[in-house]
Amino acid sequence: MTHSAAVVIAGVSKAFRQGRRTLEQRLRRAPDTRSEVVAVDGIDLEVSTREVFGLVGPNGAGKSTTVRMIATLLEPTRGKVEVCGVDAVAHPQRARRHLGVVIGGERSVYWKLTGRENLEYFAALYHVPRREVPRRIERVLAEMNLLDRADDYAERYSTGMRQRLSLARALLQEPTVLLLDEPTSGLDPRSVTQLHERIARLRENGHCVLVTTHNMDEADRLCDRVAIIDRGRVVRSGTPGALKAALQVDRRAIVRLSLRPGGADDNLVSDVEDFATIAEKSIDGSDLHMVLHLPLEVDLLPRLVEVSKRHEAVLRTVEIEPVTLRDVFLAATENGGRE
Amino acid sequence: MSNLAGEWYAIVATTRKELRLMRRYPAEIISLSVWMLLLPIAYIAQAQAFSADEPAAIDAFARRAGTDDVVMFLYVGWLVYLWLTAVLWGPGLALMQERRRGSFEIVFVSPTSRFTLLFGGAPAQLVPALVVFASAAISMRVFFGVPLGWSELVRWFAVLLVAFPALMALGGLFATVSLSLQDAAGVLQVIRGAFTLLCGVTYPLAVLPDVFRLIGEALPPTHVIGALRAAAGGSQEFAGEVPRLFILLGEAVLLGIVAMTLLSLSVRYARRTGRLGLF
Repeated sequence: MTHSAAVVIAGVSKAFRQGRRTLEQRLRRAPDTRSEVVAVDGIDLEVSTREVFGLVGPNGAGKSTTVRMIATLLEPTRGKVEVCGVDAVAHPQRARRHLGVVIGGERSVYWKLTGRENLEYFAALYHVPRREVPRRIERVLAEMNLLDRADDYAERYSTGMRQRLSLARALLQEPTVLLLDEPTSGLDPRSVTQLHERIARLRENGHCVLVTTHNMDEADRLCDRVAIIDRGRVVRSGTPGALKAALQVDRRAIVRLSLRPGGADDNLVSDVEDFATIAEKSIDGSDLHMVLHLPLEVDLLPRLVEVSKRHEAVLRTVEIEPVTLRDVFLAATENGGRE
Repeated sequence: MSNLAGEWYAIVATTRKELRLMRRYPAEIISLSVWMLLLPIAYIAQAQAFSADEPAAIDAFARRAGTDDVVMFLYVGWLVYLWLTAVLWGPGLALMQERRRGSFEIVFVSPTSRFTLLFGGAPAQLVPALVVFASAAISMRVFFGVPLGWSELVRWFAVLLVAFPALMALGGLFATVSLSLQDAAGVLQVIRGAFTLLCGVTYPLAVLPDVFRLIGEALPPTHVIGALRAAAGGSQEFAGEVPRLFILLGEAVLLGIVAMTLLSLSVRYARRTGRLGLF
């Protein structure tokens, strides 16, 4: 482990039993017929200090399970989890001293306590030295822009404010590693932007921030590096730029065509595949909607017009955009658009 | 900060948080004091109706109960019942409520000890206990003229302090068990009913079949009821109940150890199966 690695995960897997085994079955010592579901399957990751690392993937891909294993809330079936050099499986109590965790969002604060009272309580649970508590509370409240509402009950906060209070709570013990599980879920765009700015500042202050999200745009904007998880495995990892470059396409085109009455799309699609990769495809009545990934050298419009003419289709709209992390995600995960 | 100092500070903070929440959700405390006024009155009226104030009936009761003071007998029974109710609904369901609220995992990932998670808020539970005791003492005096002097009140307070750890341990045990229950509130009602039946809340244990009586005599609330009735009876009678107080302390230690062991086992199981946030 290098000195700057704050979180190291090596060969980590987690399998859960699915189904129920009744008390009667246990007493009868009946054979265990429950199936085993592998939620995380041999993940290796290394996250450094001063880094925002994104775990992205569709729902049920294994992101939250991975974060819960790092947070010591779950024991891996096999593999090693280290937090700041501490074996988090063997010594969870010691590992927790380096961790700030935001899980469960706004529900994880006490609504009938004020923001400040919430922080006082959690400062004690985190064993923050008593003399330092007021200073730290003032600091995290200021960092999260909550000072002016610190003495209001949390029930009077907006969703975004409660989310910021959760983050303030996680920062109380000045952890090296911050684990944020879907931190922007339920927030409006302005709150999302503000939270992103705060996370970026945390990185500048030397924290290692590990974020899970299924929002690719968020991961693209926020993260220094990203790991795309699908079905419990890391299918791509790297900087957003490198992942996009590895896709070997530099543009995406959103195309809408009207097919001739009674016309099938199979041959048309097959012809389009000669010069572009179809990332997404859907049909609404006679309208065919496609998202195409385009290599640099392809001159799309003439070829699209020619294919449309050949199949008696009408080209309605074409929008060309730079490739995004979402395209990488769709290419990397088997059932595109599952997100 | 040393671990011990940290834990002490966490217990103080948890107690403060519980007191704040009690103050901001006062309905439970108010309803406890109201129930303490109403329940015994209904049962005293029932007892008067059944006995028709006949000396023979009162004598028959006294032979079984060891006292002819029906008012004190019923008040003490309901006092312990309501105290136990407050413990089961409060600390007994505390972990389950944390889980429902979504704060259980966050509290769990703090470096504080499992003991503090389970019993950290216990000192705050003195408040509902004192409310029930005070409400009982006041209504006994105001409605029935029972002369509770300072010496009786001091003896009651001593019993409260000795019984407190046992009831908290009982609450802790239920809190741990409730994490694995689908319907903890339903099970709580069954437990409350069982205690009412077995601990002599409204009748002397002597009227129970032998098996029930033997079980009832071993339960902590029975000892608390016995000690409080004796404390109201006089210092000599109370002296005879001192062994009960030692038994109560022993039961507190035993129940506390069982609760901690169960918590440790269920948390280990939950960390393996992923049920920590769900249970």
